[in-house]
Formats: sequence, structure tokens, C-alpha cells
Amino acid sequence: MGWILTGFALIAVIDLVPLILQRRGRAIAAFLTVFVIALTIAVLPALGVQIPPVLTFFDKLFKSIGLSY
Amino acid sequence: MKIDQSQISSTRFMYTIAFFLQSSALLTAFLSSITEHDSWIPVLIGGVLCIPLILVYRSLMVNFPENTLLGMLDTVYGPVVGKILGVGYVWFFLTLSALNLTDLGDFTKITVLTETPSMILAIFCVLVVVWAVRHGVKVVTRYSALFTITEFFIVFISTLLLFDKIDLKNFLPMFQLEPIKYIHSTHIIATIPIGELVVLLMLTPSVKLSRKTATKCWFLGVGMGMITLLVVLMRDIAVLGNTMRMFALPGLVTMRLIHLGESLSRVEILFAVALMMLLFFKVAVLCYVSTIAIAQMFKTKKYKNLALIVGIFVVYYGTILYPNNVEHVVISQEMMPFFWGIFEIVIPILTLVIAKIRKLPKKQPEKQKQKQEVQHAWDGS
Repeated sequence: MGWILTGFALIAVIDLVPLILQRRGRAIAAFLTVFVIALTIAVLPALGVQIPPVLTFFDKLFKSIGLSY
Repeated sequence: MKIDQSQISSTRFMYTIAFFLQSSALLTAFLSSITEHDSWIPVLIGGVLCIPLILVYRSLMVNFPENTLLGMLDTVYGPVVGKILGVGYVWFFLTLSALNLTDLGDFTKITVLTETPSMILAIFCVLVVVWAVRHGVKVVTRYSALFTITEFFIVFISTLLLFDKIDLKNFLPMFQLEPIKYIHSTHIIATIPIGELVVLLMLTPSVKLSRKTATKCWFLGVGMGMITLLVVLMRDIAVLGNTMRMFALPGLVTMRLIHLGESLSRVEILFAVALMMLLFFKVAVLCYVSTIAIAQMFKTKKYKNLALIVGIFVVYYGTILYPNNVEHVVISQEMMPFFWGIFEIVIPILTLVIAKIRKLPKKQPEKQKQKQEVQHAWDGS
């Protein structure tokens, strides 16, 4: 868990801080969107929370409408 | 909107297409478990049936030379629907990146670095990819020609060295399976390696192509890639026969059979290294495309600052895509051809048809020219 947070903090220092200093609003929004999702996906399993597999969800969805071999 | 200012030549683009297809040599097991020793037939049929699809991709590239795929969607469908489809494509690119990165990690773990966790392999791979992405499309695709030719060379040499183990009877009996199995395999070939070429439409503003050059690049690139896939598959069938369906990596098993006396054995490492190289470059192109797509969605040109976080996202995203490798293969065989077909076949064809009906893109330079002429006339008077 500590390693994950340190890694993400390092990424923020490398890429987010220069964007903030340059006041690039759109780039900051793009960075933070990906950052928050990535951090969530990384931290939840470390906290013992199981994330349902994405493709299994679509597999069930497509099978339910009959689009599958 | 041109985000990356660097340009690549049409030849490099052609080799990018070729290696993109060659890197799917790892996935021949998807076919061999369905059409067994007849798996080369769907590759051949799929290659021919996908000619119209390749023409659609080429036409989109030629008609919208200044736009990436997301730009084309915006132009054709308008800003709202275009953005919704754009979000779908961003997800598609990220998912493809994550799937290929996971494949690369798993493959490296099975063949070369058996003690190293896949996650560590994926992170190190992504760090190199991020470095390349930060330097633009020129660096991402720089070694495409070298690796395409290396793969050709390895496939050619391995086929020669396996000549004594090739049994042509392994191809018999032909066309004995149910027709649905051939359709199924052809659908997989059309969507998993060939349809994935849709991601290269994101490189459109970085490649200057005339109609003639574009046709040449697309068809030569696809031709080279498909020939490699076909030769790999036919070599594996000729050597392994029906036992091929028992292996997750038939190519690796075939290469293990190469023995030239005492001196030359364990040649499968060549196959492993070649495939790792190709997969690495596929992941690099996919990560580049994902980064550019996200930057374009947010209308920012600072894509270099997004590369690292996109790479790390792809690493973690790969861990939540499917619960295990068995389910990965089953999902890829049963559901993916339909799902990926939406992004790779349906939307591009629809986009081209709507663009033709709406006579898009409007020829801006001529309008500007007319305006300039009017202005000159006014100035003159």
C-alpha cells in the first residue's frame, strides 16, 4: 500500500506539478481524471476490496442479448 | 486538432501496420482450439473478406488527413454524439493496451523470467513505453521496419529448420468441421488482429499520405502481417497437427522441436524474444494512441505529461479485466468478436457512409482561397 501511494505521489510530482505551475487547466483536468481512476483501481484491491472483472461484465451483457458464440 | 507535431514516413507507417498484425502470432491458440488443423483457412478467408474494411480505413485516412479518429467522429457526428463515441474509443484503446500489456507480462513470465511477478514486468515495460510516448510518434514507430523484418527472418529460418518435422498429412482432412466453426474463426481473425488496425487511424495527422500511397501502405502492410500469421499457423499445423489445440502457445512448442545435432537447440528463445519485441511495440503504439486520445478529449496539447499516468493506469487496469487466463481465452473467443466489431467495423463503416452522404469534410482550403481572392479583388479596387 505504501509503495503504491509513494509511486502515485512521485508521478504527481513529475507530471502534475509542472502543469499546475504552467496553469494548464485542461491538461490538469485530464491528468487528474486518469490519476483518480488509476489510484482507485490500484488502492481498492490493496485494501481487500474486490473489483468485478470488466470484461466478465460485458461477457454476461452480450450473452444476455444473444450476441455470443 | 494535431496534438503531436512529429511526422512519420509512409514506409514507416506501412511497417507499423505489418508489425501490428505480426504481434498477434501469440494469439493463434484462439483459432486452433476452434478450427484445429483447418485454422489456416479462416486466416485466408478473413484476410480476403477484410479487404473492404481496409479500404474503409484507408478512405477515412485519405478523406480526413488532418483529423485523428476522434476528430473524424466529431466532424461527422457533431460535437455531442462525437464526444460520446470518442469516450467509447478512449475506453477501447485503454482496454486494448491493458490486454496486450497483460499478454506481454504473462508471456515473458512463462517463457523467460519465470520467477518475476507479471506486475513488475508490466511496470518496467510501461516505463520504457512512456519514455517512447513522451518523444512522440517518430520514436514510438522508429524500429517498426527492423522488427518486422526480424520477425520475417525468424519465421523463415524456423520453417527451414523444421522442414524434416513437417508432415503435410497434418492438413488433412480439410473442410470436415461444422461451417459455424469456420465462421467463428474468421470472425475472430477479422476483429482481433485485423480490426485492431482501427487504432492506427489515430496516427492520421502524423502521416502524410496521398490516395495512391495510402492504398499501397495499407495493403502492403496488411499483406506482410497476414502472410506472417499464415506462415506461422501453417508451420505449427504442419509440425504439430491436431495436437496443436492442446497448447496455449503452439508457436513456442513448435520451436522447441528444432534440434540441429547437439549444437543448436532451445531455439524457442528466438520466437519468445521476437514476440516480446513485437508485443512491446504494439503496447507502445496502443499507449501512445490512448494518451493522444485522452489529450484530444480534453483539448490539450500537453500529452507528454499524461503519458506516465496513462501507462500506470494501463498496468493496474490489466489486473481487473478478467479473473483468470482461462476466462480470458473464453471471453476472447466467444464475446470479443461481437463487442470489438462495434468499434472496428460498425462505427468506421457508418462514419464513412455518413461522411459521404453529408459530403464531409468540407473543403476548407478552397473556401479560404475564394475568400482570399475576394479580398484581393477588394484591395485591388
